[in-house]
Amino acid sequence: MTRPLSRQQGGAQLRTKGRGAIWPIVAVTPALLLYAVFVLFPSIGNIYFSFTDFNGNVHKPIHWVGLDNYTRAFTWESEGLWHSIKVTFIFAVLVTFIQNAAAVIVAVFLNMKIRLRNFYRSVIFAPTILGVVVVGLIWTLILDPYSGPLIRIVQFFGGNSALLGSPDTALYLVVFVTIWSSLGYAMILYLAGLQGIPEHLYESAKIDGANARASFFHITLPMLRPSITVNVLLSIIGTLKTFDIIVVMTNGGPGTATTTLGMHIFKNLLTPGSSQGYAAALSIIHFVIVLAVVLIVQTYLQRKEADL
Amino acid sequence: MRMQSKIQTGLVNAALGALTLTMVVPLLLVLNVALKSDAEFLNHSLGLVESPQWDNFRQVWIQGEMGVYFQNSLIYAVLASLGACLISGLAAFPIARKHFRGSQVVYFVFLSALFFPVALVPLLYVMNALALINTYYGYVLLMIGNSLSISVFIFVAFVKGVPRELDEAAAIDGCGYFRYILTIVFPLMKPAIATVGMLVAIGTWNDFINPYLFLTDRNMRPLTSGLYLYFGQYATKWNYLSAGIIVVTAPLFAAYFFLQRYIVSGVTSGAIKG
Amino acid sequence: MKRKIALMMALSLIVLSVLAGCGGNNDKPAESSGENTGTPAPQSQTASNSPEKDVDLRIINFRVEDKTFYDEINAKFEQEYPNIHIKYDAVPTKDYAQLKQARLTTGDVDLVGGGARDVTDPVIRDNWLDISGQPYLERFLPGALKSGQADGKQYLFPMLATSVVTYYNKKIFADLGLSVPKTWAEFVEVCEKIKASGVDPVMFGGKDQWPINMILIGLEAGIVQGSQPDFYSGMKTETTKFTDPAWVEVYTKLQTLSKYLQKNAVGLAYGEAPGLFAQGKAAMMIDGSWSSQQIEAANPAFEVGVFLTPGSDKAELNNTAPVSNGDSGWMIYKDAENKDAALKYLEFLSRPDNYKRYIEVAKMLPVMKDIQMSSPITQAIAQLLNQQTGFWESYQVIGAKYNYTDYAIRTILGNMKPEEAAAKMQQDFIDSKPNWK
Repeated sequence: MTRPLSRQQGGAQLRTKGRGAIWPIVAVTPALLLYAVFVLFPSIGNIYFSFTDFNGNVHKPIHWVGLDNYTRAFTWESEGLWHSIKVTFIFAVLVTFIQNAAAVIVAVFLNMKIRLRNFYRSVIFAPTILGVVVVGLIWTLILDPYSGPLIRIVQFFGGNSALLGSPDTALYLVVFVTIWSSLGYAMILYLAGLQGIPEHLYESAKIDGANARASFFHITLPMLRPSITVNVLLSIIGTLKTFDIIVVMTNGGPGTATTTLGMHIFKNLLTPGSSQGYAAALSIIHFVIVLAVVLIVQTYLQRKEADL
Repeated sequence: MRMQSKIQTGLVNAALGALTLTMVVPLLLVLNVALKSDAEFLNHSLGLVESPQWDNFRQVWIQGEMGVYFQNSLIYAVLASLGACLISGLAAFPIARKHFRGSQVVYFVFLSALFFPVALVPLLYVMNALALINTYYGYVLLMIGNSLSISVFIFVAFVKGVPRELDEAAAIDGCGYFRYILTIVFPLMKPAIATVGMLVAIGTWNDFINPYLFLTDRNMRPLTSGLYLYFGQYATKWNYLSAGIIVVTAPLFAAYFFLQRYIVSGVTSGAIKG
Repeated sequence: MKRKIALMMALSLIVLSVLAGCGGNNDKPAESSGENTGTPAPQSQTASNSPEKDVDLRIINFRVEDKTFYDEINAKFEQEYPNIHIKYDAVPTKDYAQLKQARLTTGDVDLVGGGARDVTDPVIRDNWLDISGQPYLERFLPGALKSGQADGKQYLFPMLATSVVTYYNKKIFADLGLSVPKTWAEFVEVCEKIKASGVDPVMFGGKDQWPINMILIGLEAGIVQGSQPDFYSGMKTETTKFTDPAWVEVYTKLQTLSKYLQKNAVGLAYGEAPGLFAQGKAAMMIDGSWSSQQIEAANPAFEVGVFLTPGSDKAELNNTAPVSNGDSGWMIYKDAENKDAALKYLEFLSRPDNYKRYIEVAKMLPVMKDIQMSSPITQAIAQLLNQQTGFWESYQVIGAKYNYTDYAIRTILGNMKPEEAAAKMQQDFIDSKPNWK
């Protein structure tokens, strides 16, 4: 990023120095205040609770227990933790890959000159306006393994499955539903990226004899890099934190087949006798994992962008 | 060549058509279930409805006291999305232009909110201390606060695409900082405003649990509260629930139907380009 | 610098108050925002002293299906006590823990719906008011009161009892010439015959995970507590273990039972099972007594019978009925602003007429003396409960880890051997020792 032209030249600029320098800060202040109230203080409180035996009863004295909650997570309860981390990663990787690949393809299709493209675009985007609870309920109905429509189709082809009740299929079905509900948004963002690609690039490629596939891989994909970075990061953050759709659809089951880390924490918050301090420690571990993954992926993607 | 492109278009249409069906059929299924009587749902839960019970919708509307809630939902969604656009938009400009020292730190601070886990008890303490609980503005501010990181992110990305020459021209005119943002930058950010406004409005409209946690007065509850009636301790009333889902989401779909041209074109015209 | 900060503060205040103004226009009851700020305001203290002052009674509940009853009873109550205004909230079980946490944190609640679990854990128990000695408690069955007691004090006002039974389709049984099984061997025989006739023997909705415990409760009562009534008192000292033959037997029989469940039983949503059973889609269903309401609603003409799940091989042990008195009831928040109103409300609920109405509407097993049930299924269940024992889960050590849902589902799916499941359960229990209370 180069320094603003105006400053380098010392020319006319908005008053951001001297007496006027206060205004940029004033502009940021309301957002910062909201951040402090709704994000910062609660998070600090959460970190504090993770070192205590806080048990949900705010009228009882809270005791500092040091790293006990963390030791607990990594020793005698580590099995559940590692399992849920594994599930989280499978979920996140699948959703991120499939959703982004599908969204790019759909966006490319919709960027072509097809008659019904506005109709397609509107319908594919429609599920994104539904809330998680509603999406979960709709699909619970469809995936009913006794009388639901999907099992009928499966059985028609001679197959059978307990669908959300089977450890072999439950996670993949949740992956599918997650993609179903958010594909439209990713698609729109890619469409935005596609419309920013100058037409003349394709024209000159055509003159050079490139076919559709070649221009997709040599023009479209490279030019979409910035959109891909943003989309992939948003997907990763969202999927690594997922728990609400799982609460509605499988409650983490069958067994622990769909218990992501977020779901694991949610379960621990509800189990009687399980301390909130412990749940807080788990959520801090969760936070560190998400942050680490995002930083790694971001560095990787940006390096790739820079390579081009 | 022509033949080939026809086949290509055909295939693309087939693929998009299949995808469209995948998106629409589940929604139609909900309508089908919503029209069933208790007995019909239990006997043939997913067959095509035989005797449509249009009365289910009226029942849900009355039992769920949705008349009161509808107005609240509207207020929350509108205020939260306007507030989010105003507050995040104001913050995004100086950050994108690096108009103060440490602006990048502030930017990352905002982004960090994407990662932080929800912490109910501390949040309750803070909101209680500030007398934000059980107030319209408290809940609206909460929804704005929750969406802060994503809105700032979108606006900053967008402002970076607004040419700096405009800043200079404004400076020469002696335009004040706030006036500049509000009268020049904001109108240019329409696509980003459409995106953020839509995201926040949808998020607020679909919020289930927060209204119960932060609004103790039931007269202040939004539309989703009515749906809770149909999740029993042991059983779910699917037909009423489906009817409720339709009542709750219909306004969203209606708004989407009328505004989609602006929303979709707003988003596509480049809200995020990285 | 100081000026900067002051200016920032001032401006942010303006922004906040502008926003507040936007919302404030629609703020209907102006007083409600002030009264709910959590810290007990002095004027509300005086309010509870002089009865004619208006008081809000804030109630939270997780049984959303009881809305009909509470709408009715709350209106009646407000008629009798015009100065008390009820603010009643119910959210589904999954969200209830959060709601309860929120209201207790802000102190914005008087009467809390809950169960025995809220009393057994000492930290949670500390939230509740001791209601021992309230005269109306004498109307309740002593056994029902007991599950809400700790240290000789009464914390829970019980609302209902539940049991787990096997429902059976009388017509299918008659058509196949079957009689009610008394032992496990007979039960398996019945299942075999039904299966041979092409009908699914047992309907089960396992997708929601927790319902698997219903089968465990049904089997366990006869097998474990039937023969060793004090089994669970030896858990902490490891004189009894989940790896003992009794619990391995529970898992072994669960494994056998899994052959007789309908196809894909673990994927069926729990709430659908009673309806399907009432339509004759299976011959039996192992489920809670609460499902009688749904069965009746789904098919009023349905002829249904009940028996206790015969887990044990000995018929006499299978008379032990698993009963829980602590599934649902009321606790008064210890620091509640309106304790008097809450106590009045409980007294009102406990009036035989009102309570009878509850049993009528909810079709639950009553916990009060001399209450007639109107539901024939509930009546039939009540007749099975002469020899009672608690649900095995009520003897769990607070703070210990019990992962039985996971292991039981794996057993049903054939992914885990009964011995393995029992061993895992014991392992979890011992591992969580540092957390026991």
